[in-house]
Amino acid sequence: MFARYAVILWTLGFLAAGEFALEVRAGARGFRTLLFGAPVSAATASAGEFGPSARFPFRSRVAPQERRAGVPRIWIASASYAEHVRMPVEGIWPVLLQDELAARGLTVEVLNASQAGWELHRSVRTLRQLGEAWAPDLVLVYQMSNDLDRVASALVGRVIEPTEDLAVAPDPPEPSSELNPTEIARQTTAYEMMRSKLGPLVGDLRPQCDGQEPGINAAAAERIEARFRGVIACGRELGATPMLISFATAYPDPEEPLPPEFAAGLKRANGLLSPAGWRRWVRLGDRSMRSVAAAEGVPVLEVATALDGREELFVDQYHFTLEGHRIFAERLADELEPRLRAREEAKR
Amino acid sequence: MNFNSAEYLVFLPLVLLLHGLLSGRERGRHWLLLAASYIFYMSWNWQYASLIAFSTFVDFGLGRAMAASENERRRRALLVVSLTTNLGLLAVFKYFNFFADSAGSALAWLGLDVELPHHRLLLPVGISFYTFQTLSYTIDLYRRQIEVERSLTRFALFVSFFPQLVAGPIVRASEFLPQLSSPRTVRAEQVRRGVARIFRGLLKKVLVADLLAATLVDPAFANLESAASLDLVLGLYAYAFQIYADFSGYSDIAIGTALCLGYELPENFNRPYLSRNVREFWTRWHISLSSWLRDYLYIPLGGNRGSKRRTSFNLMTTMVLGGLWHGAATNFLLWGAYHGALLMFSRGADRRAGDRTAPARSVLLERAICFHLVLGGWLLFRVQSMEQLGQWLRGVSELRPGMDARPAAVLLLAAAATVHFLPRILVDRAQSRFSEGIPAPLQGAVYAALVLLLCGATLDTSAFIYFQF
Repeated sequence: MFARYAVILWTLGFLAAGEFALEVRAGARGFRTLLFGAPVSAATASAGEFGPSARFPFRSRVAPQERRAGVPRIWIASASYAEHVRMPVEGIWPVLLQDELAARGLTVEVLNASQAGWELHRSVRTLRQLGEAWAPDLVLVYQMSNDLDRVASALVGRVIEPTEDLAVAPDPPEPSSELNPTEIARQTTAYEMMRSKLGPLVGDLRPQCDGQEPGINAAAAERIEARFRGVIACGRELGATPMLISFATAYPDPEEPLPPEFAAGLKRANGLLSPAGWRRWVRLGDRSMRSVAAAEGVPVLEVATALDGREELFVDQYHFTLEGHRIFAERLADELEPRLRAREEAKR
Repeated sequence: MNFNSAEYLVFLPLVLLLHGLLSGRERGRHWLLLAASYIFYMSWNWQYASLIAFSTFVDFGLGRAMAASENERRRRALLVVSLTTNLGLLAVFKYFNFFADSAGSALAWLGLDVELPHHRLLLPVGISFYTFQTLSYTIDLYRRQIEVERSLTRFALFVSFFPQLVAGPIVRASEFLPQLSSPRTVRAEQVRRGVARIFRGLLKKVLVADLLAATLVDPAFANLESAASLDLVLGLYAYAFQIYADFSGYSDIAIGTALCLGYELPENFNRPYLSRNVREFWTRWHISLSSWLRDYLYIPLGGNRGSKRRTSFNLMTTMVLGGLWHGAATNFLLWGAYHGALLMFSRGADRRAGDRTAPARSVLLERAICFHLVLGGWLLFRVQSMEQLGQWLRGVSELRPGMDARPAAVLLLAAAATVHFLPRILVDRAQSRFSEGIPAPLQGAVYAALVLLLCGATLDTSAFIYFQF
């Protein structure tokens, strides 16, 4: 029996051994793995003072669901830039923002409803699901690259999207408790490693949009605007004040050459736009966001100016280092402080 | 559950190991394979498993009744019931909306604004394949070319055998039922050959078909209005090799999987772009479908036994229906008609060529001409509307300058073409040397590396093209 299927058994054995070895290596380097889960520091941190947990589904300092009188609640609608699971939770900007405001004498509760890969549609969905129970006062929106990726795949890659209508936008699949081999395979370190190596290679093979086609750009702007309008409307439905945050990148100038590892990172996430095209679309996205903000009377918090172009504050084109998180939180606190004080005054 | 999915990576070894454990117990093996086949099918849409079950029960029952009767009229009536049931299912699920749309357009052209009913049922995966398979059984039985199958389990397994259930090869009852009736022994050498064949198919699918699609085909066909002429042409050439690698890759995996279970499936491709004329192309491309159409449609229509006009009619009817078999859309209909016209012309040209004492054309030239004729058909196959066809033709004729395609992608296309034109024996020999001459642990290491490579490149890519048919 073994001899008959030896080739298959050896193949499976090598795969299992290879994955195990890669997971041990990845775990030792502080990454979350399929077998060993989250790194020890993150797990212990999450267990007590910080979420997410079953009762507090946010990656920020734990707060009770019942509102505390006079303490504003700030909802962060973002993605990996604010979740940043590879950073200690104490060092990510939503947590630092709460600390920074506290240091300035302003007590707030931050609900960091951000998750890697989420785009504005998903932020809206989460806000709808949890917003009523957690009743935020402010909704801070810091989103861009995931929406650009999705819009690019619809317009450049011509991938048919089910709908752009937020009211009927389907939920992305939630992590399932059922045994799902594809989901498990996607969580393996071997898969992650191969994707990160092969993604840029395939990206190099295909023609890429350089963000200079007026027709596509106009359609992209329209879609991005619709997405921002959606999150503003949702925040207002909940009685909260929406605010948009300008998006910061390490190399904002499309003409400036990107370091190869940064370019590879962009191609992994978005193989349809060239590095220059991607940066042009960030500008396009920024213009769209501002035009919606102006039309809707929503403030844009100018945080990007403090970080834009400072490569040392980024681990890639748009995720921060610990220092980047600190500066981002500080700058955001600068923007929020007068608004929060004005709010306090108005309530008195 | 695609063949290039993590699910299949778990499913196949599990089925093979259970199949191995049931060695010597054929009934148990048949039940196992039947259950595995239904699980495989239900992974797409569990509700439509009832359709296969329905077809199975109907044709099994009709077959038994046909075998029990010597009355020709009754036998013919039973055959008609089988044809009506199976083709009726196809008509409802696959063609109803298309014909309703076409009739609506025709009525609108006549000035009648009539809203015809449509359904919103999903097309069951593989319905075209298993319908033709069950039909081959009842037709062969009616012709008394095969014996009736008395075991419902074996018959159900013939209809639903998972390796070829959703995209062929279309297996005839005369080819497969005898294999189910005799005990199968699975040898280590068979498993090695089968696994090597599976990986050959996966490599074709992932490294050729999917990469050509992502780098040359999809970008060109997604930007028909603005793409450079050279990109449009390259996109079409790439599509010819994409669809070949995609579909023949699927067939390789199906044949390899069946081999690991001890069953032989018919070959479905034989380097089709080496054909010297379109007739030969149809003996090398999707062989199981073209031979099915020949035996169950073209010959019963009269084949080439009648007048020239009648033969042309038979050819055109067969190819148009063959085109429609691929999908209920105008482009497939036109693709079929195009090949019908080519075959009619090809017959005439062959007759004229036969009159000559020494053919002037070289084999190479014939092959090049034939390939480009087939390529014209692929354009009809790839576009999704007549508007797109017009855009492609306009884009090429306008001689738009420039080229967006990356040189590496063009090299990939050249490599795919080179491998296709290599003598088959070279590829087969390399495959058998690897599967038979290298120790199992080393093969396992190579396959594990390939799984990583392929999984890394494919988990987010598309299903096989022929799944939609």
